[in-house]
Amino acid sequence: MHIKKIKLENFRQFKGTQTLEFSTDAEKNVTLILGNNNTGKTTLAQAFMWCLYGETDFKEKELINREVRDRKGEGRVSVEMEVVHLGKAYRLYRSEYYNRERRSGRVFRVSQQNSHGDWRSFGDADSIKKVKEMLPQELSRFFFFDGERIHSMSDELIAQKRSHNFEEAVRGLVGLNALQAAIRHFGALEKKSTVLGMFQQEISADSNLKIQSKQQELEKLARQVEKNKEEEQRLEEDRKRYEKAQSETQDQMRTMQHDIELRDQYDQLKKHAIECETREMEDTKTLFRQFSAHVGDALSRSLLQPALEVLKKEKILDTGIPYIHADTIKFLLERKTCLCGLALDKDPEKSACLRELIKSLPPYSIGQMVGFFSKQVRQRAETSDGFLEDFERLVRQTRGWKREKEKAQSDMLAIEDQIPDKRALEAVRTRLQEAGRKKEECIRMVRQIAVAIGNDEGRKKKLESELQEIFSRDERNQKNLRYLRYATEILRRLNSAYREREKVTRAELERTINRVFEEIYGEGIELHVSESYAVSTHVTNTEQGVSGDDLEKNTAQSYAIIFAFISGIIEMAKTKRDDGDVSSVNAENYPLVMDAPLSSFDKLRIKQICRALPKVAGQVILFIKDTDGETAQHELSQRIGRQWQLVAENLTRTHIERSI
Amino acid sequence: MFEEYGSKGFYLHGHHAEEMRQLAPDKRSGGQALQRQTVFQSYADILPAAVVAGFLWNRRGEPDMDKKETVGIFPEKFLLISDKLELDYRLIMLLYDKEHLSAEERVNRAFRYDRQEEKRKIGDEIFFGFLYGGIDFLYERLIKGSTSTEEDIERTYDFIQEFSQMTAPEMTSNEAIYELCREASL
Repeated sequence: MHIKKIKLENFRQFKGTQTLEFSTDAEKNVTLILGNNNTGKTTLAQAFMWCLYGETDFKEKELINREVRDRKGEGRVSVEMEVVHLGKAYRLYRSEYYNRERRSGRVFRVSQQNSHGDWRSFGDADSIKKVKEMLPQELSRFFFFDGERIHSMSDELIAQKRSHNFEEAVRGLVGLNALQAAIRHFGALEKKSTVLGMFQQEISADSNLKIQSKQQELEKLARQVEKNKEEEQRLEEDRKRYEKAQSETQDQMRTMQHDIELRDQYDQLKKHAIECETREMEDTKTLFRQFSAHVGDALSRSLLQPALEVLKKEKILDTGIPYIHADTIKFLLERKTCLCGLALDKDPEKSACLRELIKSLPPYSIGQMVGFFSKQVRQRAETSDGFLEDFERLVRQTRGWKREKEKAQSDMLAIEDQIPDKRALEAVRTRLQEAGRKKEECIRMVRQIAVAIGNDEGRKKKLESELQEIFSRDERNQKNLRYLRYATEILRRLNSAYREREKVTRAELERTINRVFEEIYGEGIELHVSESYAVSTHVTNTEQGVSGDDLEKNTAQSYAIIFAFISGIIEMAKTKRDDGDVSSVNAENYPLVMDAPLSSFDKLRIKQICRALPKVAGQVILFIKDTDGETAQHELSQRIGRQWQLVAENLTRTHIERSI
Repeated sequence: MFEEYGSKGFYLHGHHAEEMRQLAPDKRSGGQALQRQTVFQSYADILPAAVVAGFLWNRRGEPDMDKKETVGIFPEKFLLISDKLELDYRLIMLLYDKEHLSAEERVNRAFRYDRQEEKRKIGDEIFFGFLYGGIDFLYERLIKGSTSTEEDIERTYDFIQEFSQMTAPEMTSNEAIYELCREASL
């Protein structure tokens, strides 16, 4: 199919009637449409879709130009396309009429030109059928690409989520949709609208309440199992994603090993420095406490020996009575009575004896005091003994802690510039733990769900067998039971065929895409599409010192994958014409209408893309930003047949100018 | 011997008060928490060290009577050190001015004048002279001009080193001291 022209009437910002003609030349098969943001590139891309299928992706569903609607209160919006399909010319026309209250008068018509040049219109149903023949809607999305769709695909690829785009493409390409429809038609036993369900209902129509109750339970269980299986699959995908994140983070940790060791070393030094400082402070406190308590004693220790020498030389003899002072005797003599009651005034001999005793008592005799003094000296000698040694040891110890603290601080300073930010390391550690935790959570939940599914399946089987038991007792149900078995077998075979063809097509599309991707992006990277349609990249060229999965997750790479993907679909669509599939597309070339984000690539890649696309697609209509215009013109110079410029007059009006 | 201070407390004024505050936790600031580590833990600890240091390094001083600044050692605290001071008093008296004073006079000052206030005045003057001089000396040696705890430690260390070297000959073992005690007491 080729698009010759498109005529827009009051379609969004394209006010009035505006026509674009496209190049259909086999060599110069590229039409460039230049326009900045908000000039209507996406609107134009949507106009094709609306004309063909009556659908757009606009949030605002009203299509009529605002100026027309606001000024006149009513008006018509229409898009007409002229296409060539299998050598015959067709006109596709779709319009809607708007007035103040509502839209109405929807028209869709396909006309074919006969050999005389006259146009013959098809009826409504045939018009729709014709479009389906030209390009089935489920595949059209891969021939009409707007910028937003490219972004969402790119995000899908970068996040490595299940690629619904890829899945849909595979199904659309080989008519798997038809198979799916058949599977749905045969459907689940529990659904009343399916073939299986119908037979089941026939059987159960004759059943009693007990059967109905069992069937209801069966339906409930089946829904539960289905829901759990979906959840299981989703969790399994999540688990793989977390596992991969875990492994990537572990790799990152390995590359950061030196940093981690350095950080640990720094932390150890810091801890040691703090410890040393604490010990230094404690020892300082002890040191001063000791000094304060004992320095007086220690100083006076040096006086003990010389002082004792003095006393020794003096030979002070103690002839007194302990604790008796000269004043005591004087008192007794004055009162003239001894302690024993003897009258001293009557006994001069005894009085003289007491007077003699006074001389040997304090303060005249200091013997007792010296005795007490020597006891104090002894104590002083004891308390001051070893102070100097202890004090010196404490000082040395304090200095030692100080030196160690300073060394640790100096070592810290030496590596301070090299150590990475603690938060960055922590973030990687946290990411690793988080991925591990989430992975384990997924595993745990999958286990739980598997057990639940197992239980439900078991219960289901039991119920089915109970039902079979009841049914088989009833002869009238025998026939329906047989039909049900046939239908079940057909469903099984359909499912098997579906899976087989899906697998083959996926593999073929993967091969085709890899070939185109290599042309655009160069060698060394292989794309892989998993069973769950997650697209991943794998580095095959390890000579450059790179190996493993996911070389880079960047926009350029993901866009290159998308280009390869689109090209792959177009190419496969061309070759799938004759394999007898109901919904396969025709063998002739197909147009590729797309918003091309060329500015995401470097020059070499742009060149490769510009070379690859016109070769793959029979007709290329590219929407390009003005800033990319020069590059595209340069790279596609041999291929451009037509070029248009979208010029925005204001927010609600754009007109189209032809530049080539 | 120091009954008066044991009942009324012992007070220092003027620059001595200021020096005491630098040597031990300043009571005005609520103690150690608000100032850096001090060499002495209390004012009471300073006195026995000061009087002996004054004697050993022969530093004497006069009481500063400027009562704008005053620090005090309360009676109950003073009683805890009065025995120590009494022993220091007797030691100093026995050894002070050996060149000019007879041994008998030094022994009398050390022991005999305890209850004779008039006769004890000379000894008291000498003793308190060393006490005041000792406070000045300790302040100068250990604290004055020091800006950090580390410096305080170094200064106390140097002080102790100097003392060790200076008094090494007098430093006898405990056994030798006990022997002398026995001999002197006979």
